[in-house]
Amino acid sequence: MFENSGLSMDQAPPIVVVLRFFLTGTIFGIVASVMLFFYGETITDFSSAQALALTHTLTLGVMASFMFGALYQMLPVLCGVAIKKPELLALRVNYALILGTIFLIISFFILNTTLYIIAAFSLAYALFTTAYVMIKKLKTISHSSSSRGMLLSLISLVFVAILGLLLLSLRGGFNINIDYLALKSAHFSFGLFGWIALLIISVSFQVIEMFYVTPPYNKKYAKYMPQVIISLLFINLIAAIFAPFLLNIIEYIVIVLVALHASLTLIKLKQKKRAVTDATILFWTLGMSSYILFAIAYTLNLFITIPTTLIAILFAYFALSIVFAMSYKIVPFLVWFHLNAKGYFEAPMMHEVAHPKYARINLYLFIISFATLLIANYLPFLWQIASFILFIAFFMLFLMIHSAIKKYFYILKTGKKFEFNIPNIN
Amino acid sequence: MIKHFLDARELEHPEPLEKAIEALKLLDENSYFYMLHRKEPIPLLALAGEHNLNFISKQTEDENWHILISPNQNIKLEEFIKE
Repeated sequence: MFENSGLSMDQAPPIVVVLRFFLTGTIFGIVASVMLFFYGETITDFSSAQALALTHTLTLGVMASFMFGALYQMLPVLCGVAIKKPELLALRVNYALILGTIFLIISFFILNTTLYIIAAFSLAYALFTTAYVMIKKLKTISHSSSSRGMLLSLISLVFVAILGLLLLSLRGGFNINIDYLALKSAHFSFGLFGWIALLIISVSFQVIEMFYVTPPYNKKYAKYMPQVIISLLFINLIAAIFAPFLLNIIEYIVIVLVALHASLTLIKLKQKKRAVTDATILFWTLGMSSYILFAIAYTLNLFITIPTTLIAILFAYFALSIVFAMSYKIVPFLVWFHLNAKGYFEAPMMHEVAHPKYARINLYLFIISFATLLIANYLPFLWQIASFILFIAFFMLFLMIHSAIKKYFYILKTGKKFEFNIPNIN
Repeated sequence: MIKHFLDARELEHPEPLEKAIEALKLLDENSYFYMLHRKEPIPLLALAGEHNLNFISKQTEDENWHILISPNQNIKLEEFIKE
């Protein structure tokens, strides 16, 4: 409950903090599409430098950028915690993440210890600083299901970073007595399910009901699901060291649990009270469906051979769909809200920042890129076509965010302010 | 006191905030804004705080949030909350 409690717009981060991360994410998305265009079929060899470079462009460049931007925005709004004066911190983290990702990608192709060290220090700074600042804030509050899940997801990020840095050290030529494959498996599990999936689950507890007026998730389910997932991931980490034969079993349970959540979310979206369906709901539907297909393909792969790249594409589109959904929901809202809060009459309405038809076209291109990429696993000449369509989809998202920033600063410069009909009490 | 009421419980984001801001523009010392919501609208409360408005948000047993905002600093908004 709030009661004249000194709550103010300082609670929310400046709009540029969030949008700079989002813009960075779309640029890395464009870079990933270009990489895919030139690498084509070579990415199907998962241990190749090309596959590693593309995977980390997507997970660090795209996903981490969007997830950091979203966390800066959502921690104050959903959890009521504010990071004081976040501009400088966010800017440093943003640059460190960009630098670290670029050097990491290059280091997959050029085996050079200096490159590894620069990548390791930059990424360590970006990931640990963000996790430390946010975990410290989240530890002080009374938790909702969403905020508890976000906290656990950030703890996963710490482990992703530690395990990733150990892997980087091994690749960089440092001699550490650890099983490389077990380490890689634990890094993979914490990254995909602890950091990415758990954050999406935590956010969905709040935004699915709030954005689309659906029935809420069961309270006990929302409270315990993230805790069960993170507990299993820790057991998995211990198993990686002492009982590697358990790894696949525990990981599979986590995959099924996340699939249950995806199914439940689809049911919630079906139960929404209003008939209107916008592009963001369809992006959420696509994301959750893609995850369910990922779990099915993973299961089938236990019995018949399914291309690993196909399974990876299904997971990637689960995460990327939510990125697109949240961008089309958050960016126009932020522009409109921050301008209104500053008192500008001419604040563009949300549909003027991102027109629903534009979002729909972006959705359709995204779906076509998804389908084409899946088919490319069997018809390799489609890799280039698919990556070109994905390029356009990311470029459209980039244009939307870029034009939103331009509109925001244009109104700030030229707009007229209104005053609420309030006596000045200061 | 004139009440400007908005039941936002079945409105999709960001309609509650859009309508609330329009309602706030109409307020004077003899009026207040009363919104019913399924969630606590922290951005709206932050905006009210930024503009030095008198405001309160309270969740009742039925899990609804009651948000009251007025430019009048001398009224106790809690007294207007209806269970």
